[in-house]
Amino acid sequence: MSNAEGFILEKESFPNLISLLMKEADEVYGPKEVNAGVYDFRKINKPEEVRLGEVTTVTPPLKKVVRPPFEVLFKFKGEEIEVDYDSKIRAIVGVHPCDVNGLKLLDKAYSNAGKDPYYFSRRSNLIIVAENCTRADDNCFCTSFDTGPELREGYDLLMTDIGNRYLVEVGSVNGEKLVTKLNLPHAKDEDLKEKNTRINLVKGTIRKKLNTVNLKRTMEGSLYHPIWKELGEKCLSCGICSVVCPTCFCFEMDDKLNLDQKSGVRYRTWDSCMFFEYSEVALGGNFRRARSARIRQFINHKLNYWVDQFGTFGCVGCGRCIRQCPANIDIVEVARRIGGS
Amino acid sequence: MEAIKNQYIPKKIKIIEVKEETKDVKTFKFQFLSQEENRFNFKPGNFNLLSKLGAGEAAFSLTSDSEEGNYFENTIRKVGRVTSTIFNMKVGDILGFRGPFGNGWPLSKAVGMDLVLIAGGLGLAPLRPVIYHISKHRSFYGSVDILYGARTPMDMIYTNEFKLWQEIPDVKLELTVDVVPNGVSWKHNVGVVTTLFKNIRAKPDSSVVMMCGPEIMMKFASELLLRMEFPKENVYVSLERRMRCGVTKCGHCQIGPKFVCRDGPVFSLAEIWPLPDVIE
Repeated sequence: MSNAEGFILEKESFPNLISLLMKEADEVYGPKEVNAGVYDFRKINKPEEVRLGEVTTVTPPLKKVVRPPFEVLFKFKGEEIEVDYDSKIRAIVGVHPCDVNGLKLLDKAYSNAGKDPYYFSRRSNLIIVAENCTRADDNCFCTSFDTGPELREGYDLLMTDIGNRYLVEVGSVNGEKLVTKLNLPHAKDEDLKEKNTRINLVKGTIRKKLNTVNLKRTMEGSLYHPIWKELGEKCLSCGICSVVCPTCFCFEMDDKLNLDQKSGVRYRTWDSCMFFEYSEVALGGNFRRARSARIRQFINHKLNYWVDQFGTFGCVGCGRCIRQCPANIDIVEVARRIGGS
Repeated sequence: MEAIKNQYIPKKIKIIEVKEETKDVKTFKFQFLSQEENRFNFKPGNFNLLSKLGAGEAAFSLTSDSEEGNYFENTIRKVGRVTSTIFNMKVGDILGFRGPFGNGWPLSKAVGMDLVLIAGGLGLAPLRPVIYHISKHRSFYGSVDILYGARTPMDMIYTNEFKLWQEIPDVKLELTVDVVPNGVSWKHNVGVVTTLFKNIRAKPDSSVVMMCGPEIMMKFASELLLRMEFPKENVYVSLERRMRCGVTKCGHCQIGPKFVCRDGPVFSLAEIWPLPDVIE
């Protein structure tokens, strides 16, 4: 299936796509306006709830669906264990290129030293209808990591707003089936040209840049840079940067007992290296007691250690950690001050 | 979806023996419920996770003879929720096991060389399988110095095995404590473990050091060893981190780019020194 081939979906027919997905999948997720001007991916009950074309949502949609914030690993009763995998088919509409690329990074983290069965049970049943960006804001910097504003792979369908219609590109057999069921007409050369024009236009508006040349080496050499102390005084250790990061994969595991004191669940929840408890060991020891050590860990993990661990930076330039940080800490600015440009 | 092995499910084990080491430390001997699992194999320096469903899971060094296929042991100090729960359990009680995890001590590399084992407190637990290994394969190694320090004489573990260890040819066991309480007799050294370093017989250029203990002890000991010209590549430490999942997913055990659960817990100083983040 050639990706260059495209189809046309008229905007007024967009609800047909959602209706079809609602039939094909057990659940459909898409961007909704949850508060005035605030967008987040939620479960879609009616096609008209979907609001495409907005800039990045507050939380990373794919991480939330594939690796939910709270997840039961197994139930137990006495010493007997019962495992249940979530294999619901989930369609997710309107995901931006940075988030699809973020999911590819999560895939790496959850395949390390053996695949995570819970993650891949959801992951392999995902229908991704992505949307290329035709708008960006001041904190988008995907062009630095080549993770946007145009998506190249990792989707079933890829939409681009080209005026009163969407150009729809197919990236998988599943995507092809959807296009066939919708009976979409083929796109013309001028539609593809219009897509490129719009992508180039938005590229020009992305001014935030993180210079990745020599970035890893610069970070390696800066573990004792005074900036960490300064950031440690600014940082509130609230962990919002981890919560909203599409590539943060850490979790805490624990047990919850029912009232009978015999049955319960073992579960995992999102965790963050920003939290004091994250790096606690026996007898109250802690290897990142200082906030400066924690923010240094967070930023170095993304821009330094990820490269050793998984062969790529752990950042996709979505800008969420910058938008949400209550202390206005900006990872791009930190890298620039350390010695990049 | 192809079947993926679920690494989070513990296997059932039962306690077959409990030995009191100190006031707050016990050594538990375990056996798998399923007979097949009992051909259990690990490398000295590996660790495992123990679960008590409802109380949680925690990581422990495997401390028994790694060539003993019928059982394994963990030495546990009562410090938190999981360890306190296990501490109160008795022979016949059921727990969950995951592992073995980690890389282990560099025993093949050490063949033909002198060995220095340095332990502080409970740090002797992951080194005990090394001592079993040496006793079974004595000709593989040169001289063996074991330096062991604890807070007080009553905090020493495996004390009834010291005599056996000293009977292994060319093995020297040196003991030290920080404090000797009134009324306790002690005929060995008093002082931190580094005060024993003058007695090391091993030649720095042809020996391997294996060390485990509180991180602050390992920091001072490493600095002294480097000054004594033990090469960074041949000084190995076993690190304690918060191993939650054991399979690199939970992230807690990372030191720089290393996952302690997979790339460690044993590292040479050349790999990780100086530690970016030290337990304090």
